[in-house]
Amino acid sequence: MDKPREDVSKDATMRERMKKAKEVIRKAKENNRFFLKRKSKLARRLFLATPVMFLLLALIETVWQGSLTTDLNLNSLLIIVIVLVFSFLTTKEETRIPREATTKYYALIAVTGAACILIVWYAIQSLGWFPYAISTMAGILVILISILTMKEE
Amino acid sequence: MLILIVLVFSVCFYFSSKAAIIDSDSGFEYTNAQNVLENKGLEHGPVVQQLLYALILGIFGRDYRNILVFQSIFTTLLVLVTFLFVRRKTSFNVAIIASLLFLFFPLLYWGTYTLKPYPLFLLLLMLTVYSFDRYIENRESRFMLFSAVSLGLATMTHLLGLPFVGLILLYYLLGKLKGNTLNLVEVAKFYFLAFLVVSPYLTWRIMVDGLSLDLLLTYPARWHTIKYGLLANKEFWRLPLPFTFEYYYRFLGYLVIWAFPPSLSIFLLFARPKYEDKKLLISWLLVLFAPFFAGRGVASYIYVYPFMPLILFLFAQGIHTFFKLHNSRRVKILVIALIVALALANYGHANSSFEHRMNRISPDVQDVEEFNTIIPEGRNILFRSRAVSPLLPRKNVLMIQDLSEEDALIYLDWNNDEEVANVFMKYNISYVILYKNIRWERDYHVWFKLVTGHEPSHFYKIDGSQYFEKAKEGNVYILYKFIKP
Repeated sequence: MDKPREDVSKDATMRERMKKAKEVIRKAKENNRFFLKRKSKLARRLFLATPVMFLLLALIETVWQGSLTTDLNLNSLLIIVIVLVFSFLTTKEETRIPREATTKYYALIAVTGAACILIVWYAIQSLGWFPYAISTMAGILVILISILTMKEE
Repeated sequence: MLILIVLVFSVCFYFSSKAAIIDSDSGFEYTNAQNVLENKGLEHGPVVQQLLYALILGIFGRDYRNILVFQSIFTTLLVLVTFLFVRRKTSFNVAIIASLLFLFFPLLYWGTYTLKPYPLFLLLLMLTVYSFDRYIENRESRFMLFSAVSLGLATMTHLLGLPFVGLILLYYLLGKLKGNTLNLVEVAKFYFLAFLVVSPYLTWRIMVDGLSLDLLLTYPARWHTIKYGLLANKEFWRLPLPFTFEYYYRFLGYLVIWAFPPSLSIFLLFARPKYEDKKLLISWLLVLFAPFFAGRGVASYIYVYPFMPLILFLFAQGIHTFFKLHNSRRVKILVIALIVALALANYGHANSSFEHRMNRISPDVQDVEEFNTIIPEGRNILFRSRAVSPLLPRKNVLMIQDLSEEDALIYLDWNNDEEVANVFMKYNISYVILYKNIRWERDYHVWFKLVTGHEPSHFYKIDGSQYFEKAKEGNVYILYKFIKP
């Protein structure tokens, strides 16, 4: 037996609605994917920046004792950093094709090594001749490890 | 590169261990070594360090700094073995960075400039773990043999080595859960080899002391340590008693403060070990915590020492993953520079008394060095502990625990000059060193108050005694000479 005319029109409306709903879900999914992508980029940047920033602050505090801790509690900051890092631990590994080592990188390594010599010497200068040996070794180590890391790529 | 790293460590350790220290544990080990040289026998406890220190003092002379040079060598070797272990699990560069992180650990310096055998002990433990790991990978018998021998020697070097006996068994049991890489015959072989190494020592201990658990778990195994050790820890040293909340809280606190350099603990979050490594790590952690679960350890920073290589391994894993996640050269260079700069700039702070020991002679050391010129060789000297022993070579420093409990009570109570003189003659004691600060003479002997109900009086009654005369008064100590009746 054929369906009554009213039922047929109801089915068509339902199909139309379903189609619209599916369209909305598809768009939402697309938006969400876009959002997730953005979030992933943000996560990666935070992930990258926080430990490095913290190390930098720790170094400043080590070299100029009390310069930060009078206004900033490094331990509280550490907890924030750990929470931040922990929230974004799901970030996937980055696959980049290693580029040729240019003179720009070697110059960066040399500058970093020299900075390291100065910082270490400044931090332990009160210990007689000993800081000269240790800071020179620190600079050499930074340069060698950086070059080796670049070669390893 | 490796040579440079070893050079950095050797220079740092040499300068850390350069100056004199006065410390009970160091004095105890020094006296034991000296007793071996003078054929007075071995102390009933771990023997490897007693024999080794005796050998060093016998060959290079009685100056305790000769032992410190070897302590520096053992510490450098410890870093080297840790480097080799970490390199296998991560990469060469990460292992180098991780080895540099070792310079952050203040305990590493403490272990180097005290005469306790911690560097040697930890070196043997690391050799055990490293060789065992190599054995798991390529099944070469020589690695199993090396691992078992190292474990046997480690248990004979420090009592903290005893829980490590369970390491391989735990690894095997954990493997039962999923994909076992070790079978029971291999486990039995390992333990048989380790037993062969310790069997002469065990035979000697059983022959001398019988099967007493106290003697196996307490060192020095004297009446004072066995009967009143916990009381002294609680009342004088303010250490919490085992199985209390504070005991575990304090120990974990020390672990966080002393073994985790806070600025680098972020990298621990990145550590993602493989399944096989996880099994090893869990077994390793369980044996490290075992003495505290059993309430046998002391909630002191000293017992955090064996945790260091494990934490360093986790750091290395973290840095390895961090570099994989952030494949940017600029970031890598910056992180490398920051870690190296932090490690070496922090060196002076990690090694807290470095400047003090480099530039000044402590007044207590100065006192004892002056006493050393007054006291003739071969004399017996009574002191609170054996802390001054390394500064008084070829002299025998006795502590209260070396007297019998009854004689110690007579001396500390000092009711009668003749009775005290008899005790001194019984032990052939010629000199007494007393602290000027009465905390170390009155409060330190908490056990005495528990037994007698009153405080010791030896430290002021000695001045009125006809059998004692003041030989020298220093800034921290007073030296008394005993005049035989």
